[in-house]
Amino acid sequence: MKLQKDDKWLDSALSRVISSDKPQFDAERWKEQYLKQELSREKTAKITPNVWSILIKSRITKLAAVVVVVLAVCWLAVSDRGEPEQQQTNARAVAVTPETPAELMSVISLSMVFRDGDMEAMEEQFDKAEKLVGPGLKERITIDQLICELEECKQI
Amino acid sequence: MARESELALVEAAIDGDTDSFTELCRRYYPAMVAIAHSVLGDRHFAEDAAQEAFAKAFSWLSKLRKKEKFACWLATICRNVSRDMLRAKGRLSNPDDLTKVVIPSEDGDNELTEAVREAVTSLSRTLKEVIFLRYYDGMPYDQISEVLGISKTAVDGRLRRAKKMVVEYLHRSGFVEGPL
Repeated sequence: MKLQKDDKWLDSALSRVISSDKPQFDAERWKEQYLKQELSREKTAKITPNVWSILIKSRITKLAAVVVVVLAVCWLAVSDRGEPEQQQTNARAVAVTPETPAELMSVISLSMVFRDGDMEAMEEQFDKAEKLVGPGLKERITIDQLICELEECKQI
Repeated sequence: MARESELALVEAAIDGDTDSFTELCRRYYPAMVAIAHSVLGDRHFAEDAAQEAFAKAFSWLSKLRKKEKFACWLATICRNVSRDMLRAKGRLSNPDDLTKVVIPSEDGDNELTEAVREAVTSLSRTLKEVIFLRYYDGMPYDQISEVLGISKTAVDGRLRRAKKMVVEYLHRSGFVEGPL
C-alpha cells in the first residue's frame, strides 16, 4: 500500500479498529447498582474510621517516624558524648566573658571558675577583679571592703 | 449557553440533586467509556468503570473546587477507577505499564486493520486516550479539550502525533511504502 498525502485511509482504519455503537447510559441501573453501593460504602467508612491503619499506610507518616527516630538517636549520641566538654566550655566562657568586677565576683562566675580550675583559678579571678576595681587597691583588702567597692562600681 | 447549563447542573448536583447529576452522567458517558476503554481494552469493563466513576464522583462532589472543570475532574476519576480495575484483575504487575493492554481483535479483520490495532495498542497512554475519544464516537475537538482539560490546539497536536506514530508503526511493519 502506497502512503497517501491525505490520511483519510488512516481515519477509516482507526474508526474500524476503535469505533463501536454509542454507549447508552442507564440511569436507573446505575442508581441501583453503583450509587447505592458507593453511598453505603462511604457511610461505613465514616462510621468506623481506622486512624491507625491510615497512619500506617501513609508513606509520609512512615517517613516522618523514621526521621524522628534517627534524630532522637543522633541527639542522644551527641548529648552523651559531648556533655563534659560542653560544661567546660561554658565555664571558660563565663570566666572570660565577665567585664565588670561585680560580674567577675558573682556567685555564678566564681562557682564556674572553681569547677573549672579549682582554687588557683579562683585566685586568678580575684586578681582580675582587683585590677579592675582600680589602682588604689594595691594592698590586701577584706571581703567587706571588696563588697563595698563593688557596690560603688555598680552604682557608677 | 451549554456551558452555563452545565454549571447550573453541577451546582444543583453539589446541592444533592441526583437528577442533575444523572443528566451530567448522560452527557459524559460516551467520553468516560472511551477513556476507560483506552485503559482497560475491553468495552464491557469500560462501561463498568465509567459507572463506578460516576458513583464515586457523586459522593465526592463536595471536594470539587473548580465547577467549570467538572468534565476534566470526572475524567481523572474515571482514569483512576480504570487503573484500579486493571490492577485488581491482575493483568499487569506494574499499573503504569498500560501500553501492554491489548485491544481485542474481531472476526473479519484484515491484516491492515490488525496492524492498526497493534499500532494503537503500542501508543502511550495520553495518545491512546485522545485517539479513543476522537474515533470512539466521532467526538468534536471542543468536547475532547473539555474532557482532557487541554486546548483544542493541544488536542490537534496529540492527534497528529498519534497518527504519525501509527503510520510509522505501519511503515516499519511493511504495510505502507514510500517516505514518511
